[in-house]
Amino acid sequence: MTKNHHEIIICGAGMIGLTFALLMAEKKIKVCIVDKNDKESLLKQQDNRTTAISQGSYRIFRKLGIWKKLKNEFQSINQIFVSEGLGSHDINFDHKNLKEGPLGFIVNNKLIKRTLLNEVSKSKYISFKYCTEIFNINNEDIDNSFIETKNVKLYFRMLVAADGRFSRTRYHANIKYYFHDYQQTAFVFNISHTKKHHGVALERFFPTGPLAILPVKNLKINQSSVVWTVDSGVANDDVFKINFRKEFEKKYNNFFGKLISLSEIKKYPLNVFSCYDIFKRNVVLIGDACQAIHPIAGQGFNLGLRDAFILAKTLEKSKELGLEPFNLSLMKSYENMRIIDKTLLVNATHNLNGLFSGSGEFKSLLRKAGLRIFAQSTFLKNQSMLFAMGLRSLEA
Amino acid sequence: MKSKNYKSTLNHSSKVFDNLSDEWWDENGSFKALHSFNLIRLEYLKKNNLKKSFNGLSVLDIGCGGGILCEPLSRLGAEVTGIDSNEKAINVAKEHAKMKNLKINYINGELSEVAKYNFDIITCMEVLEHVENVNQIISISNDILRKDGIFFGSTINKTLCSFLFAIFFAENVLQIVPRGTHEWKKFLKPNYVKTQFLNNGFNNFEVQGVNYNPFKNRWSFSEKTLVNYMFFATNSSK
Ligand SMILES: Cc1cc2nc3c(=O)[nH]c(=O)nc-3n(C[C@H](O)[C@H](O)[C@H](O)COP(=O)(O)OP(=O)(O)OC[C@H]3O[C@@H](n4cnc5c(N)ncnc54)[C@H](O)[C@@H]3O)c2cc1C
Ligand SMILES: C[S@@+](CC[C@H](N)C(=O)[O-])C[C@H]1O[C@@H](n2cnc3c(N)ncnc32)[C@H](O)[C@@H]1O
Repeated sequence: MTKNHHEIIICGAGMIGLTFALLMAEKKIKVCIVDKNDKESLLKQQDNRTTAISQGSYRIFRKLGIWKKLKNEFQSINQIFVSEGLGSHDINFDHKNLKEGPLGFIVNNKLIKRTLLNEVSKSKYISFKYCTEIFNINNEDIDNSFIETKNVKLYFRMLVAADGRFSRTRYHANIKYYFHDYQQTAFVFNISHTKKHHGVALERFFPTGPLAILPVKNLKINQSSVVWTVDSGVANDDVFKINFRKEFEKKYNNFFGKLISLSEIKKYPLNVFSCYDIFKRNVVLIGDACQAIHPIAGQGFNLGLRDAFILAKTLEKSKELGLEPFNLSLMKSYENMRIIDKTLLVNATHNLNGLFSGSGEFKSLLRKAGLRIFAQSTFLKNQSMLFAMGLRSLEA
Repeated sequence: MKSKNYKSTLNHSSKVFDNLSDEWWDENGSFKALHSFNLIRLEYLKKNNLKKSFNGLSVLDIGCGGGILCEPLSRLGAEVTGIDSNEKAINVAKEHAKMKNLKINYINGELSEVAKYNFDIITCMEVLEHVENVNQIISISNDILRKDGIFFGSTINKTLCSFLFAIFFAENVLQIVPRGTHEWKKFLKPNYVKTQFLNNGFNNFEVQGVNYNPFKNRWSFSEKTLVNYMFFATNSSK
């Protein structure tokens, strides 16, 4: 095997690609990661977001030894309050109702990436090619498949695309996808407030879009992280821009006491990409490259991590059985294991957003009735908590 | 023992495999059920291989066809010999192994040609239902297996169900198996196979039913042996 021949190439060193590489290394399977960025910019990426890590993802990180490297810089979510508008909390998810530990953890994206990159660079099973952008894929012949980059051809037996929402691999492999622009913008920023959050997360649904406030670990100040989704029509309105803080305060409504300060604000246009095929020949898509969903339920990362986890298991199996990394029967069983989880979440987040945005009478009635049924049913609540915690699809 | 006079075990009637020789490695082609079968039979082999690992073991695959089973076993470290009476299949197998950089010893001919060698494991998958003289294959196998060797096989039961499924349904309705591949009268009841093995010096025989879902092209282990089944026989008392 020369230096340009690899059994498995991963395209994209985002959180999913990096974790996938570590999962493979744990199984003593060599991989090569390529990313268009250099190491510096991967580390410095201006990502002020936090990620809600589900119990399922937490267990994967713990197994990989990533969790202890986060050195307590995570905040557990003990309760989630959900309401329509500023209404009293129509549903209250409390982790005490299940015996699975906290509902999830809030961790800073930069910290996760730094930790993952650090582990990756220590592993002898992982090689890394920075500043390497994929220009083309040639995989008509599975025994002679390669990607073209500016300087070299890199040969692979299996290409794992983890290059995110705007995946170029997906394009080069000619994999069709569903796309929808929500005409919504997510504003992401941190706030500090006067009261302690006690690990409470808040999700408020407004006709203009949902507002999520997530507790952040900070020993000095009371801090939370905000993902506020607003219809793009409103978001681009000049009056709204000028009155941003005031508008936010109306929705925030002093939930954790008075608002003290707002950090720098980042804007993300919201859209959904969902591929019709999970793999095509020896190219397989994971994470946002395969499905990039609405952040309404904070599940994108967790869903992608389940892709990575189960794909790693599948490739381990092909090795154990003496098969090649790409084996059609095994990939079909991978597809089979993933399809329900993916379809369910893509549709659920899509419909949830549809249901909670907009202001029709009927929708509002439906929402209220729905929330009420939900609030009264311990079973539904526990089931959906388990689902959101990512414990449903990992049992296999 | 080696003085036995081996009669030909070659199956002259089987032209079917001649016509299909280009398709051995097409995972969507005529042999797609063998490719998907690989997952579960390799799992079965691993589970019941008393020596734990295949690394360094000598394996003989009787009726190896295009080498669908030989290649993974070779990757797992076994020294694999594949033998098949069909010349075209052997040529495909040789070419393919070369392309995949695998060292596998392929022989075109009948079992008696390897009678001078010894093996730790013999595999014979989806072959017994095609041969004229099952008893002879088993007898030679016992001669060439080392002590504590294992014979792994898979074949098709002789039941009404197997007639309906393996012949009528699979060859005519679903057309997942090329027409004329199977003759029901050559199908083998597990008890018959067991008796043949025990009469030929093996002292342990175990059967495992498997179930094929043609719509999903997926195999699973099953309690029943209505159509397909696997088995292994050992000769620890040799
Ligand atoms: C506002 C917002 C809030 C969110 N909040 C949450 C949350 O709370 N919880 C949660 O679970 N999820 C959340 N998500 C979703 C989550 O951020 C994503 O699902 C996750 O980050 C996807 O990771 P990824 O590794 O698949 O892709 P990315 O993080 O996009 O990584 C892609 C990588 O590929 C590289 N790359 C791209 N193109 C090429 C190319 N052509 N060649 C080489 N390399 C390339 C890039 O440099 C990058 O490193 C949120 C999303 C948004 C928009
Ligand atoms: C259904 S194929 C199975 C191929 C292979 N064992 C597998 O499972 O992938 C049956 C093979 O048995 C071979 N065969 C039939 N009778 C044989 C015999 N008497 N000696 C050697 N090979 C034989 C045929 O040529 C054919 O390649």
